[in-house]
Amino acid sequence: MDVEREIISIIAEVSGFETEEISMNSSLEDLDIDSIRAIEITVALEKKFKISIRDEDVPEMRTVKAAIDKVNQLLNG
Amino acid sequence: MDKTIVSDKYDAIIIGAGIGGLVCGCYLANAGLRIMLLEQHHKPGGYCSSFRRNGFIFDAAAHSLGSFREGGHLHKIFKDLSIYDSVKVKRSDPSNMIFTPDHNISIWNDINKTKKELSALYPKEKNNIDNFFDYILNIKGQDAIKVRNKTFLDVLEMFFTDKRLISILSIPLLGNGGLPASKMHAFTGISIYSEFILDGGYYIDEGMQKLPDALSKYISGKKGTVLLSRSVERIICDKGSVQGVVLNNGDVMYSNVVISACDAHQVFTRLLDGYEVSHGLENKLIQMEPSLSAFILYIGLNDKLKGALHPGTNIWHLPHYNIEDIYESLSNDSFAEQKYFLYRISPDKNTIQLLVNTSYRNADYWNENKERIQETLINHLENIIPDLRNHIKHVETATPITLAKFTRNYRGSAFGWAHSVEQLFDVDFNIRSSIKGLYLTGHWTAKALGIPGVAYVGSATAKLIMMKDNIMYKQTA
Ligand SMILES: Cc1cc2nc3c(=O)[nH]c(=O)nc-3n(C[C@H](O)[C@H](O)[C@H](O)COP(=O)(O)OP(=O)(O)OC[C@H]3O[C@@H](n4cnc5c(N)ncnc54)[C@H](O)[C@@H]3O)c2cc1C
Repeated sequence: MDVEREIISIIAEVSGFETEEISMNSSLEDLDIDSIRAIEITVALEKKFKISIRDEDVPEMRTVKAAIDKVNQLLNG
Repeated sequence: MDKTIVSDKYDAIIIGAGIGGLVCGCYLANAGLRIMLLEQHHKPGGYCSSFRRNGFIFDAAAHSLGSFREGGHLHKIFKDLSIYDSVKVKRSDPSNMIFTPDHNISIWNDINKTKKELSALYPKEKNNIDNFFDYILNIKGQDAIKVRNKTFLDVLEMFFTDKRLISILSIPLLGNGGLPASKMHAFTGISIYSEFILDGGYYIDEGMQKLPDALSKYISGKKGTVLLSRSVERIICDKGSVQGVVLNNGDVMYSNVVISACDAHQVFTRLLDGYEVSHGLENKLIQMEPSLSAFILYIGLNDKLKGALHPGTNIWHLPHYNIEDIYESLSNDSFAEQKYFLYRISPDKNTIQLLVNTSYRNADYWNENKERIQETLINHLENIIPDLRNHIKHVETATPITLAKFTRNYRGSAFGWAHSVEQLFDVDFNIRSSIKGLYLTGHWTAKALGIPGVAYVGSATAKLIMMKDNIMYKQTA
């Protein structure tokens, strides 16, 4: 499973941006994602990858890259 | 039937004139888009509509509104679209009452009064009651993160120990979302409380139909068209992008943006060609649970009932404190016998609507059992309103089959996909679908329910489409 592509596609679903418009460095704020929708993305990631992100790590996931790193870390760790 | 011009191309086509589709249409029309809204029924509104019978006006399904405080979703939409004058909203106080085996509990417009009365009944829980309501009304940040995978029962148990109080506070969820607290997502429970219960009890003086009528008029007053008695039978796609729709009369209408504001199940299983829907999604559609449907009794009264009847208030009848048992029984034969129901006497005291959530069953089942269920429910009501039968001039029922027929909601579902922990925020039922140009809105977007919820999602869908097309979203506020 291509983790990066899956994550960008989930963020695209929630934000409404096309996947091509989302880059590794996009912040959730750039994508007009407020705190509730950020939680929505977290829930979607947890369901998709069957992982459990620690509560205190959720606010840290402010960019696409941070989200990808976190998921990779949990999948490989 | 008059033929529509088939070669016409619209900026957006919307399927379904429920509140979700109508609000979305209003915002798009307001931005100057040419939109075509198609509704299969002969009037707009979906579950938010009224009908006339024997001189009475009945609300068909939804009968009260929430989130109308300054800054509430519905309030903002009324303001943005300037429909205050055509839709007169009033509020009943108390908005809700819960008749338990031990007490009658009121939810007042003044939350402090509610807290005070509840604390007097459950003195040991006084501080917890205060903390619970503060939490519900102010949740954000880390508190929200903490409960993102929790049920509303988990939330209730964070605050309370008294099992009876927990059951009482769970009842509005069963009625407004069709799930017990043990199955409902914490977020949905919190928004039911903040939008429908603590900011609830609003109603439209001349019947709910006024709202969809005003929204339709708004669209027609701009570059939009609302066509009634036209059902969409197919969504045309080419290489994964939508191209338009085919109607029941054979007309074809084109647009690169199609918004499904109707039951998502029919969209993915019937309106789209099989190859457009991935295997993963096909399997998902088999597994996803719709919310419960409802059995509704509409009663017309011959003269004004007397006594302390609390007209306009949603009254929940809780026969005992085992919510799990009540929930289980809603899907079996004895759902009417167990005395859990909601009723509301209209503010003018001319009509009563009684409602029990129940599961979908085939037409034969309802034909055989409808009358028995109707009589059972009237008997229950007569225990609360003595001599009721002598005041009844008209009575009729709607079953899950009736709801499915008039709105085409899958299995007569009252609130779209069930808002369980497993299903909320499901990515396959987001506003943006996996097919280019196809959007979902309304209560099948696995994230909203009820009129304030679908109105909010309707506006969010419009905003998203405009953002993509670089159209200024007019913020009238
Ligand atoms: C009995 C009952 C009581 C309720 N009470 C309340 C309440 O008091 N307050 C509250 O806030 N909420 C209440 N709800 C929930 C609320 O009514 C719904 O969540 C909300 O109205 C759904 O709006 P919607 O626009 O998503 O869908 P709908 O109202 O279902 O609208 C969908 C529309 O699409 C049309 N359609 C479907 N298929 C097609 C097609 N192929 N082509 C063209 N048109 C199509 C339908 O005819 C319908 O008009 C209640 C629901 C029920 C069933």
